Amino acid sequence: METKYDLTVGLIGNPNVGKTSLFNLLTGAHQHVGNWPGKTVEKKEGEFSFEGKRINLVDLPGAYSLSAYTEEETVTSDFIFKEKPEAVVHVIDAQNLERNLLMTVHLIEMGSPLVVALNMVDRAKAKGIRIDTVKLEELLGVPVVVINVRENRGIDELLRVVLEKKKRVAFRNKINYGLEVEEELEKLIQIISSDKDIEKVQRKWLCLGFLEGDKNVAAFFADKPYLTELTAVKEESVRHLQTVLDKDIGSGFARLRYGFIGGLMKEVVIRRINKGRTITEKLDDYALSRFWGIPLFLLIIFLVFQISFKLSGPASGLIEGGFDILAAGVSLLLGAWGMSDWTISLVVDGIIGGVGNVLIFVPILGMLFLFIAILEDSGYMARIAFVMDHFMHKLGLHGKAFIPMILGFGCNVPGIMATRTLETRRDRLLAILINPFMSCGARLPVYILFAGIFFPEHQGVVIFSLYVLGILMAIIVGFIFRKFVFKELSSPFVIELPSYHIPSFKGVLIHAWERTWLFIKKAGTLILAFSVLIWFLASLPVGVPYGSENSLAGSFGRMLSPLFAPLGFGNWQSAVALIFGLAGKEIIVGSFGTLYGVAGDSSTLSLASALRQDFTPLSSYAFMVFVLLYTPCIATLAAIKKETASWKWTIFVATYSVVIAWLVAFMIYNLGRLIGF
Amino acid sequence: MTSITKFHEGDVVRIRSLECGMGFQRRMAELGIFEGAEIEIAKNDGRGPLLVKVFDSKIVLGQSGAQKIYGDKI
Repeated sequence: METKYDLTVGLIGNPNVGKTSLFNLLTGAHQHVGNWPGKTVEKKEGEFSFEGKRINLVDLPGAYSLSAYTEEETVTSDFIFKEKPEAVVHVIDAQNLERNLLMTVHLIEMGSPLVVALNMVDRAKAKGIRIDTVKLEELLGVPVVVINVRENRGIDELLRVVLEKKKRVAFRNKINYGLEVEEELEKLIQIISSDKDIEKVQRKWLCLGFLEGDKNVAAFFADKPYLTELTAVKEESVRHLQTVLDKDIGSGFARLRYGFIGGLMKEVVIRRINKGRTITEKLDDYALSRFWGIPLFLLIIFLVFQISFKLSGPASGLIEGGFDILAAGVSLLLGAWGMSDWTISLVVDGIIGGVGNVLIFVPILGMLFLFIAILEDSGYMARIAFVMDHFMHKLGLHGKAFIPMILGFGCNVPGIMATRTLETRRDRLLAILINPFMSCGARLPVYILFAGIFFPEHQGVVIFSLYVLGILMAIIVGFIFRKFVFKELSSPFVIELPSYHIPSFKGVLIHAWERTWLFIKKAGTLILAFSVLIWFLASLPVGVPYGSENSLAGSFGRMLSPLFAPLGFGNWQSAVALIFGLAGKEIIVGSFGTLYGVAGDSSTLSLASALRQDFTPLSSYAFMVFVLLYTPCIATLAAIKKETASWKWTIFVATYSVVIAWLVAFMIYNLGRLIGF
Repeated sequence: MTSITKFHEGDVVRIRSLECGMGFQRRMAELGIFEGAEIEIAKNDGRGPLLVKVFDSKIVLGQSGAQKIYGDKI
């Protein structure tokens, strides 16, 4: 794999510096997204050619440093340290040079083949910050290239520097940590200098990391023969330095590094005091306001959902129509070839129908993902985390965990995948456990069907109440888990607020497409397999009408239906539909069509009259509540398995949610009857 | 020496100590919040997270984290 490229280049930087935009600009559509081996961190790679060289570009996860604090940072430092890319491009936001340079200093210490790409210089200028790049290059001892990703300027120059090997291994200016620290470092370097696996340039960095207690570095030394000696010397050094620096090593080193950077800043930056408030500050007066923050957020999210559903409706209709035509065509064709009715039904009802049912949701998911990408890219998502932090504390989580929850309203699968951004396993698990209560787009068709039939006057209110109920359940369940299961404290909430900017069209599209494609791939594999399974259940034993009372599914439904009788929907069709709904909750709608024998009859009128015989408005509400809360669909369970890497938690989610669904639906149905509905 | 949650919008604070674990301390240091650093309180509603200005960036700190950071007003 690696050999087909002339060189591998790593792209690194703080979050929100335009790193991913640069990646998109360079690689365009030639990207592949996977996972870092053994990690839940996304790995993005892409390839492109420049001046006859084929370059493999790796987009490293956004990080603030190379210490092993988060999984993202471990991945990044491992990549540079172990995979030794031919070049590392560090993208820096010129508006925040001082903080960004900390990572540059780390990279220089690591001895990585570095090129600094200074982005957003124009915006820094507008803020009154002027940077002398020639001087910066001279003082850092690494090449610095000014780029403008948005306007596609300076990119060729950057690539030329990347290809020029000589420039990259130029003189590097290293921080002098002062006599005391350097002496201690020298002692450690002495011990490891005989190790042939360690390059000379990396010795000092490894020893610094070891002194600071970096987990990654400690793991690197773990099986070395000189570990005992090294550890003994280190402990002695730490004791000594803590008294000398009068603070712990971490803070001490940070102060020294920022001291070095501060000195450098004086040489290269000219600041004009800018009295005027920036647009970002003006917008934040509202976005972060104690009074306006939440209403503004609710308004934006309301608009997002409204527009998404309105715009995607026609596209979903087209897909549905397309699948109907496909099914009819295939059925004719297979009939002409003399296939049995049974085979035709397998292909048409099982495969085409099953996948079609799921693909109908692609437009709405795509739209939601698009808006979410816009919210992320514009910088507003971080503000949502800020305003919702207070609320999220009630669930035992912090503001950052709200983002997976919003995603959950589109689809729980990306919601659960987004919990990766949370730092501790406890936070991730808690966020994953409550995510399925966020009413996803697939549950909406069920609400639309039932609310349309039983609450035609109050359809909107009824559907809205279900969304609210989901959030309430998340709060209650979150509280219970926090009290009894996850007793340790949440990780501290820290997030940077980037400046607002207009999202890049291309970047947003790529982002939304990646997530949508993930869903389509799933529809093509897991959901297809499950649809076929359901078809078999509905068609066996041979000869029974599809999904009839005598089919396997039907008898299963009859067996289970007494369980649902106390909830008001003891008919066997509901039980079967709920089983089928495990494949995807929207399938419940189609199942009712089949089970009441009105499939193919496109008028919902006949289904409506059939449902009216088995449901009252109250029992239909109990049914919708059950659909909201019971076991998440198979795709969500697969995502939970992937993210928790534990069957135990996956099975737990599958069972506890069904119990909760039963209890809540029971309470609603019976309380409703008491009140006289 | 006071917890930074006690300061008001616009106050410039010199950090004196961080009473928290090594991991969080290091993360804070990387963002520019370490002993001796100067930060500006950009927003403090008395509940919910704090917004602080460090160098040229704005960082949101949850209440529980911010309570562990002490400093003096300059």
